[in-house]
Amino acid sequence: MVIKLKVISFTINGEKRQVTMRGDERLIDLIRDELKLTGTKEGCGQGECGACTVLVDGKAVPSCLMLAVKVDGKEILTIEGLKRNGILHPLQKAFIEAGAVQCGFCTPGMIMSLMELLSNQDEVTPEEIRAHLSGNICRCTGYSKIIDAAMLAHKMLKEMRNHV
Amino acid sequence: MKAIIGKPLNRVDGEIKVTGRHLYPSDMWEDGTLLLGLKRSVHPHAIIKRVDTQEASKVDGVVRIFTYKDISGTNRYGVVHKDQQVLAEEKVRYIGDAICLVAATNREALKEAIDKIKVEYEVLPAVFDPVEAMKENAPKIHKSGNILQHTTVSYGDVEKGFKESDIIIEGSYSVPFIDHTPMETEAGFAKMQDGKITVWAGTQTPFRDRKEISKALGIPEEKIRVIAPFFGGGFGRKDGITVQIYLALAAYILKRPVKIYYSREESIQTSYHRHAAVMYYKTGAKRDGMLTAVQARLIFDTGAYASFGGEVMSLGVEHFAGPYRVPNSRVDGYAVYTNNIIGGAMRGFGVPQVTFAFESQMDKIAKALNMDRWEIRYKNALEHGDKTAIGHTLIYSTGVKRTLKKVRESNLWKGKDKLIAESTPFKRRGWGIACSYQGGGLGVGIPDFAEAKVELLPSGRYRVYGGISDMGQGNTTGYVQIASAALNAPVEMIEYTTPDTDRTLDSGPSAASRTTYIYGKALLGAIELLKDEILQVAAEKLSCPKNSCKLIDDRVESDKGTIHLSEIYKLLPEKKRVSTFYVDMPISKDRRDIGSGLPHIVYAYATHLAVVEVDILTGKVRVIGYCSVSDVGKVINPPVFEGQVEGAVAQGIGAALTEGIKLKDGLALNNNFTTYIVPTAVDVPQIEVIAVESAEPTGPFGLKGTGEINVDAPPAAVVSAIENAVGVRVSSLPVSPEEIIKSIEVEDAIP
Repeated sequence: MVIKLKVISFTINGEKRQVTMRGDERLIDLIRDELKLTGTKEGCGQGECGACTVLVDGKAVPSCLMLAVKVDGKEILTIEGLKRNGILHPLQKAFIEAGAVQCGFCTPGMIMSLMELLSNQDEVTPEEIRAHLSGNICRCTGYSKIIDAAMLAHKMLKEMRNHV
Repeated sequence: MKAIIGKPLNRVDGEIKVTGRHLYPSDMWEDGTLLLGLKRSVHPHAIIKRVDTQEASKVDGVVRIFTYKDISGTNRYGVVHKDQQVLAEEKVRYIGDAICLVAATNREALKEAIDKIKVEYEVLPAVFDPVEAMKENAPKIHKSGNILQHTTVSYGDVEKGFKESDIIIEGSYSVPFIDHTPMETEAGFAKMQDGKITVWAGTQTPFRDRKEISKALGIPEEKIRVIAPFFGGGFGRKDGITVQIYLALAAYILKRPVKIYYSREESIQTSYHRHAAVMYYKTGAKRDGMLTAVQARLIFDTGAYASFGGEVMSLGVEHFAGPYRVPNSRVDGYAVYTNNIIGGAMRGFGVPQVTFAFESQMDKIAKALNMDRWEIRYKNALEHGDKTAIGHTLIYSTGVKRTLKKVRESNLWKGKDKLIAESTPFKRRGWGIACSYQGGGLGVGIPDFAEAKVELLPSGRYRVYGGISDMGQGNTTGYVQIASAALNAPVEMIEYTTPDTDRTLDSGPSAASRTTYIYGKALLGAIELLKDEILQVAAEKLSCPKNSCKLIDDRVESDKGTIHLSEIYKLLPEKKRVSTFYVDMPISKDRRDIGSGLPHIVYAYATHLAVVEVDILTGKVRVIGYCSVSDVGKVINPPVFEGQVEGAVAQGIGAALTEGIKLKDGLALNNNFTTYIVPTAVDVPQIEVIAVESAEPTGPFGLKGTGEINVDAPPAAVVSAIENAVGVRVSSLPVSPEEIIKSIEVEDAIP
């Protein structure tokens, strides 16, 4: 079986890249194996656990379910792209301060899912957060502190938006 | 100096995890790394007639295919019984036994080669039911027979106890194999470094791994180094060998970096699990609710290999009648081999199984006597100085009564009636309660120690060499916090390491609710010694008495002046800059004759309250309110403690309602998150977490341990609440909605 190679161009964490990928390779293979951005985790390979969540054109996707060649011309954001100029993103800060990190393996996926939800939302309830995160499994925390972190980040983001 | 103890402290590993910067075992890679994979048995019980790797070897990208013939050591491993083979020799005992290890340059080649290895089998009769496996004529899985271990304990006179009772309640209970599903499956990386096989792995036991690798491969321990970075969850699953020997073998023979990372399906089929169990109970009580006798027969299915089968079952035996006074008892526990998946260590270690069974018995007695479920527990609860149901004396902090009292002060207790009354049509609500206790440490007869190491660095900072793995529970943060308090220095001055057999000292497994307790205790000892050296040198330099010198932040102060720790570093001889201290876990003073691993002496206690809503049209159960009150001794870091409680309760809710491996002839049918359902954020309510901080005299700053206690009670509390809601008593987990609907009386279902 011959699988076609394709040259794709995309932006990842603000940086323009061009790579050659096989047609059957997944976005997570591009991110982890090709670009060595190992902050994105693989927990199940079936889109069920959410550990591999990244943003593609602002939308949260499980990178284990998307083919790499599909990101041609698109913009990808991974957990490595959140910290800017040495300053943690409010979500990262909130996860630390709320005690939402234990083993931390689900954390990048949780944060990327929440990036999608909280980026432009003025009001959010804990119930909405729970529903939004229902595709992200955490086996350590029981979720309470993750919800706390999301609410805290929401508050910080809202304050930032209001200051602009 | 103790100001930081009991205060929230952000985790020291927080930032490297939220930025994606931390390299987990599954993230490690360098140029030229080969990928490893395993050819595994497809039969649950068979003789291997022939293994043909010829065609597989020709696959482009395959570097090497190993069989047992490539192993020059014993080819055996296992924590207590060395009954597992690294690569199977003649026989396979479950679906998943490893036969060949393949190393390849890429994933596709690895998969193709594994598929192309041909194994010829002679299929043997297999047995999947532990009760069947105990029979004389059952297929023999190991030469020694199918009963791995039988532990029996008697206390008082059980027959007399039943005669004295006013009622006798009997019940049988069953629980399935449960998967830990840590978010990172078994993973690791290895290479030759400075002449040593160096393995980075997700492991709770780096020091024991070094011994296992050495024996299995026939390589001296000093040529092996095992490193345990922070990894993606364990919960007991990584308490022992998973991928470590495969990594070491390939790195050693190929002299190239290698990595392995199990798929979720491979992990669920082939790793360790919470033991499935069937449990038969007979309980006698007086009319006033006082227990007179408990008898039980516990059968734990350990699957194809021993792992911790005997020890887990023994812990079930020890805790079989809960945290209650039982004057007469007899318990028989069996750990039995079958051709099922392997049972091993999982958070709670045998206690969740028996807690579900015995707390159900307590509810049944209460119901039969028309007594309140809280009251019957309070009446029988153990107190300091009491003897447990297996007859040993509780000489340390014993807080179960305090947890029972405290639960009545919780918001959920006070609000439960209103919450239940707010039920909507076709939904019924109810509340349930359960208590548990959990021994900390490894128990009588098993070496249980820690040796802490702390160093003064040239800059005047300190480094704590953490000797026990941190799989996410936060013990490393605990060590930094303890060091900060004891050294009277800000947290920023304390560096830490995670375990590394070349740098840290053997402090035993990250298990048994022991990690912060025992290493923390050793660390306090090591710090006292280091402080003494520092103050001695400072006193000499400042020409003042030692007791007038005070260690404050990065300096020593006295009336005669101040000296910075970087100066002290220069003045101290090299070996005095490092101090180490060894401690043993306390063990029971009486009843040490029962067997290995029991009893314990330092216990955590808990009372849990659950409110559930049952949909009487679908039988679906939702937990809508939950409160945990636990006595874990002094809480060092409240958010870390709460995280341990909330996570354990979530796992317990999973065990109650959705989790359990469905096996068909030894094959896990639900081997991914699509079908093995663990709770998500919408399945777990906000949990009310309350600590009862009995000061534990043996623990550092009075702490006990918090890792496991809160995973024990949830299934019993949820099942208690279901009965309260719809009158259906569930005795088999996970709760089946079908069973609930079938059991709800038809007229009762019409609102």
